[in-house]
Parts: sequence; structure tokens; C-alpha cells
Amino acid sequence: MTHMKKITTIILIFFCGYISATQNMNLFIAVNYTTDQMIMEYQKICNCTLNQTFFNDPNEMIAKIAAGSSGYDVIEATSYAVEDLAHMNKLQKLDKSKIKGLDNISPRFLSPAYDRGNEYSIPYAYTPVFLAFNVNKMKELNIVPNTWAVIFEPKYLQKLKGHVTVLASSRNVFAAALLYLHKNPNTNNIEDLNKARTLIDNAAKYWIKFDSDSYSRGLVRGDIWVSMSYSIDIFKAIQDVKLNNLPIQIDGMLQKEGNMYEMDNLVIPKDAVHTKLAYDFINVALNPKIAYNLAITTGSSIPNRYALQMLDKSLLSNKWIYPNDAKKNFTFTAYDAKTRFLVNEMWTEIQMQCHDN
Amino acid sequence: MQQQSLEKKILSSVPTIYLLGLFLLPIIIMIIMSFRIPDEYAGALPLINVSNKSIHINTSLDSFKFILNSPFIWTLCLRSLKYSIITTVLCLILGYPLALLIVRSSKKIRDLLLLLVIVPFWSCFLIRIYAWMIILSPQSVISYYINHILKIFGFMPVNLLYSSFAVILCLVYINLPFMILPVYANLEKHDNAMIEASRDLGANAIQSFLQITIPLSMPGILAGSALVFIPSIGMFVVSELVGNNCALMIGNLIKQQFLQTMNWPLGSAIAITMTLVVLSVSGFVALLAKKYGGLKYANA
Repeated sequence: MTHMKKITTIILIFFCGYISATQNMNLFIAVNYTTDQMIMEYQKICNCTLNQTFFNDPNEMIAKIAAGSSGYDVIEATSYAVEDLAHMNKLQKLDKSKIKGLDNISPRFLSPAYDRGNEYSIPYAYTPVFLAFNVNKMKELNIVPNTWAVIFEPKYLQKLKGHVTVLASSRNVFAAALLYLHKNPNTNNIEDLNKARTLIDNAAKYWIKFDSDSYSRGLVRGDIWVSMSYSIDIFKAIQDVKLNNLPIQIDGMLQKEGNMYEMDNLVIPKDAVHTKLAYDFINVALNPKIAYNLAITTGSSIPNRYALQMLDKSLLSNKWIYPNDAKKNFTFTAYDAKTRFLVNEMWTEIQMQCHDN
Repeated sequence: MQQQSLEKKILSSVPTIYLLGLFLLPIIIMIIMSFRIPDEYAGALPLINVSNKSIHINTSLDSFKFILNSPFIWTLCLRSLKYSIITTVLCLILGYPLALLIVRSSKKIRDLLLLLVIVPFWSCFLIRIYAWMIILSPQSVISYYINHILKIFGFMPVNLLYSSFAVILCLVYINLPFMILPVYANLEKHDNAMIEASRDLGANAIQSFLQITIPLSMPGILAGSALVFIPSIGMFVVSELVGNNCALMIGNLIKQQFLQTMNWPLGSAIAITMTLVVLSVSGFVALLAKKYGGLKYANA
């Protein structure tokens, strides 16, 4: 009988725990974009469990949401994704009275072109896109990767053939080509896009891969010498090299023609169930301490001005994490429907064609 | 008697419904999707548009026209076929002798060998592909020695990773157990008396292998080949991870249509075209097998 009681008690306790912990906040976010401290702090405040689902590419996220995938309370969306999702009528207008600390964000990141007045989105972090490289190889080959020419001009590529990767992201590859051609990286002009395509087609035979997932491991292993990269991947790669004392030196550099940065935001989808928990999460992300932790552990560039004050000078002065020339750094805006279709068609052919003739 | 058949019906209804729901339904959805018109962002325009009391049905053959007019899709299709055929043949060449070895081993060793065949399934196949990425990387010992030897003979160094070689190697590695197991299951049932009889009648080892063992194991070979050929043709993870631009397969294109460029109708149309190609190739092989007597033995 006492056994029975014990078991019943255990079951009851278990059940109570279960009931009180059933609140789940579902977050849909890019890989490697939250920190343990953020999760712990958030769970303490909301008394809930944070469920993270990851995606690799903003388009993958848009595809899933467009397909009707629901159940997320907060989604991390890059600039043009905010525009696309809002256009699809998938986002809630944010209730600013529930958001604490929006003025922690540097004014230059507020009310961006893709979401005037921050109706739908709150800036979270950003990642510049630039060329990362193997320092010794570049010295050996006498190449300074301070220009996009390094991945577009045969003059450089002949020396680098088979050791170059570019991101598997149509927006980034087209933007780099357009920047190199001194055109607007967000252009909807068909002629300019065709020129960019010709440039990409001619360079693609020298590239070994379109890769957004494993290129940084290639850099660390030493078989990739130059790669179009996201800052957080290179930050992590350099950490890995230091941690494991590897005999390799990796660095990044901005290009003189200009660079894109992916400005990532938090948005609340229209069908979010736990709206209160969603606002709680946004408020935690806006907390300078949490943003600071995100900056130092993941290498994400943060728009939180109070967190920036806490940052170490060495990190702040890193140009490929905190680019300081506003005239040369651009964020993405959405294509119009016709351009999107055209670029998608071009991208399919570019990515799938074997250029190794 | 009747009651038994009722029980049978009830028992078989669950898997039947399961198959109908999870296999047939998606295929029907996919077929319909391939004739629809892509929407601005993702998905497709509504199939039926009711406006001003007129009903308009939004369908088009554009996706199929695009496939017919895009040589690169057919290049990918042919390459996938080529890779799958090479993979199947290599799996057979490697797997058959191994299956034979397992069957001919003593009971104890046989169980151990079978276990070893199954062991790779214990870890996620993605992790095993990552392991191969390390093995094949230019910094690995293997790459180092291969390129060292090539250098001695005056050849240019080769890149093992990110090549069609790496894709086929990984495809073979992943699919090998699916060849070994059906062939083993078949060989195990062979009556040794048949071999003995052929030897008594004067056949040497090679003759009795070619004329008794191989024809008898035809069902196992066919089952194994189907199990290797069909999944490998649609594989996209392997070519994405260890292949380069010139080693991408049709699965990569389909995935791209759904997740990156978001043209679902085109993705569905390519998937259906590929399914038809696979079906016709498999049908052709089955016909050949029937004609050349493989299945005759199987039925006997």
C-alpha cells in the first residue's frame, strides 16, 4: 500500500510539473544565433520552455512559413524576409507598449527601409558578408582580397581555382557581383542583373562550391583559400583555430566596392499562440547584457548601443564585424515579384550547371 | 473461414489506410501541383478562382515545357541515372562476395559479420558523411599519400573531396548494406545439395558458381539492386556535402525548387518526370531479367 502511495505521489508530482511546464515558446531562428545565457535568462522570466527550430537560409524559412508552417511564436527574419512575410500578410503588427527597450537600439538601425516605423520587426543582430581567406596562402600568391575581383576576375581565379567557395544564397552572390560592377546591389533592373549573371557564369567554373554550411570548416582544414562568408561563421572558425592550436591563420576583409550585411530581426507571426511569451522574448533580446553576451559568444554584430559600450575595443575595431563606413555597407530590400522570379530562374541554372568544361 | 478473412481484412486495413494516406495522397497532391501556376512567393495560385460568378481554373503546362526546354535539367537527370547505376554495380561487385562469405562462414562468425554489416546504421548517416569529409579532405593522411604517389609518377595532385568520385564513394558506402542483406537472405536459403550435385556432374567451382549460385540468387540481386538504385537516384544530401557543382544530382534541383527558389509546381513536375524515368528504367530491367530467365529460377 505504501508503495502504491509513493507511486501515486510521484505520478502526481510529475503531472503537476508537466502541467506547469507545458508553456512552450517556439522560436524559429538561424543556426548558431542564440546563447545559453539568453535562453536561461528568458526561461527564468517567462517560466516556460524555449523550443528552438533552426534554418540555414532565409529563403528556406520563407518557404516554410509560406507553405503554412505554423506554431512559431517568434521568427528571426532578415531584412527582405520581413518585407516578404509582411507582404504575404503573415506578420502581426507589433504593440510597442509591450516592448521595453526599443530605444536601446542605435537610431541608425531603427525604422529601416524594409520596415518603416518598425511596424513588424525589431532589430536583433546583423552579419556582414565579405571575403574570408587563408592568410599564408594569400601571401604566397600575392593576393590582397580587398576587392570582389578576387572571386570574379580570372586574373585572380586562375591561381585560386578549386579553392574558392561562395555562399549558396542568390541574394548574396548577385549582390557581390552587382557591387563589383558598381551597380545597386538591390537593383530590379533586368539589364544590370543580366550583366551580373554573365560575370557569375564566367567565374563559376573556378569556384568549387556554392556553400553556406561547411565552407568555414574548409577554411579551417586548409582546402578552401578564399570564401564568401558570414561574419559569425568566420568568428567561430577563428575561435576553433585558436582553441585547437591549429597551424592555420584565417582572417576576413571588407571589399572596397562595398559589402552587404544581413540585418536580422525578430518578428511575431500572425498565428502565434503565445503572444505574451513572444513579447517577453523580444524584451530579453533587447536587454543590453543579453545582447552583449550574444556579441561576444557568437560574433554577431549587434545594434544595441548600450551593449556596444560594454564591448571590448578589439572586437569593436574589427572592421568585418563592425563595418563603420555607412556609404559602403548595404542591407537587402525585397525584389519585386517579376525580378524575384527572374533571379530565381537564373540562380537555378547558375547553381546547377556544371561549369567544369 | 469467413471470420478469418474478416480478421485478415481488419488487420490489413491499418497498413492499407496508412499507405493510401501517406503514400498515394502526397503523390496525387504532387501531380496536381505540377500543373498549377506558381504563386508570387511560394506555393501556387488557387486552383479554382471564383470571381464575378465565373469559375476560372488556374492550370498550366509551363513547368513541363520548362523541363523540356532546359538541357541542364536533363544533364542532371542523366548524371543522377549514371551515378545510381555505377553505385548499384559497385555495391553488387562489393556486396555479393561479402554476402557469400557471410553465408559460408561458421555460425558464430556469421552472426558477427552480419552485426558488422548493420553497425553503421547505429549512427546517423549524416554524421558518417561528415566523417568521410574528414577522411577525403586534402589534409588527411589518405589524400596526402595518394597525392604523394601521384607526384612521384609525375601527375597533378587530385582533390578527393568535392568531386564526383567522393559522391559515388559515399553513395556506395551508404547503400552497401542494402545490397548485402537481401543477397545474404537469398543465398542463405540455397540448398547446398545443388552445388554438390553440379560438382558430381563434373562442373568446376567457377562453373557451378556461374550456373547454379548466380541464377538462383537472381531474386536477391534484383531486390538489392532496386533497394540501392531507387533511393540513390533521389539522394541529395551526399552530393550537396561532398560533391562540387559538377556532381549535383536531380534531388538537389528538386530541393532547391522547394526551399530556395520556391517554384513548387516546377519542383513537383521535375519530381514526377524523374519518377517516370526511374519507373521506366526499373521496368526495363525487370523485363530484361524476365527475358533472360532470372525470374524463372526465382519462381521455381
